[in-house]
Amino acid sequence: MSLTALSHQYVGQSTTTAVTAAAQLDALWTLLTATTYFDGTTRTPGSGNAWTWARYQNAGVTEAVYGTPPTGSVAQRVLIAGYASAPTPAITMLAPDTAQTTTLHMGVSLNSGQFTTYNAALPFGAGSRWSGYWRLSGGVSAGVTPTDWRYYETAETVVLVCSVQSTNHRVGHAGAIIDPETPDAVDAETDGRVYGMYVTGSNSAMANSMLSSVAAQGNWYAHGGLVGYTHSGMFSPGTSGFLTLTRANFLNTSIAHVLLSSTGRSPRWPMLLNRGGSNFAGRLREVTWTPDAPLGSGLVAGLTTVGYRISSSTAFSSETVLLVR
Amino acid sequence: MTYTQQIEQYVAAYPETARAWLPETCGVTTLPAFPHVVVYVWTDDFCELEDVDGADIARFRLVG
Repeated sequence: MSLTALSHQYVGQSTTTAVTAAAQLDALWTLLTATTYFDGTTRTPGSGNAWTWARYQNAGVTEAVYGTPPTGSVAQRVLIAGYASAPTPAITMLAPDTAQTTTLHMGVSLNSGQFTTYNAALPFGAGSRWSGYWRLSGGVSAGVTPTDWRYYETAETVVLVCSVQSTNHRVGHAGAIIDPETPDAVDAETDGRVYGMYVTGSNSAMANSMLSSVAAQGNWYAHGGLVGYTHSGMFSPGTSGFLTLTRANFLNTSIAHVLLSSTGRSPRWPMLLNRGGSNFAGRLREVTWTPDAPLGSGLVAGLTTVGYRISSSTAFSSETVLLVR
Repeated sequence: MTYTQQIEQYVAAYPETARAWLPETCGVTTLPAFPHVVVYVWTDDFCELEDVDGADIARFRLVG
């Protein structure tokens, strides 16, 4: 039986013209700690869909933020870090990415204890399961600002969108992202979920063909084996091992788009993922294929927002996924 | 990519690597493409690269 449906809520957008990782994290911080959602409803950390975020600062300079979901039984955390000079010891990356000062990095922890430090081998203490970091964003360097961040959350997942100069959009998606549709222990954690993350990567922004292509850069839930490429992965349930995820592509690439119904309605096709290149992983939770649209636009039914669209451009329509409200 | 390929990709990115500490669970004990790198196996589940002075260069976890 399927898990309880998640409901995405859009917190908002924050802009910075500074060129440091700290400024990016501070721009994010204003979103992560917002007291209202974009639609004006109250956001109370620890209840509903609202994550509780904490910030780590070194001599007043932000170097990491980490979030705790309002619900869950496996002590999930999402950790985002960045810095102007590399710390000692080095942060623990997840293959194949290397750390860099010009991007933020994101990782997921399960069975987490108290936060220690973002560059510990286990940032949430002994006994926790740490993914390691993948590169979340690009463009934290001179000449490529301003940078906008958008933040969406459900009770168990987060979506972050980094946009440089209103183009070059990169997405991070993390948390209990997959419903394996089975409780088998090798396929699901003890709570029936699969935890993992996706990053568009530092090399390339989201591609117009992010759904019709499964190439390793710029596409949705693709995985590339080179540094800075798009990466998708999941915890091997019950272990600290991490497996790659890839999207099963059922679209006929000569069509390459989800079509509207004859009455103009937008279908929401479930998105299915494979793990390790050889097994079914599950269904991406409340993230669906949907007809082409610009990034950031809401899908409405009458006066009700039923989802938020993620695509390659805010200026024109291209292949789109829907974060279901 | 195999574990060896993932590790060698990092060593290539950090040419100052002199030693590599690798998880025993990954089963990699040599890096054929980098014979000058001394491989040590440990019980931690992440990899660590060190320079000739023993300073940390990089830490990473393997995928797969």
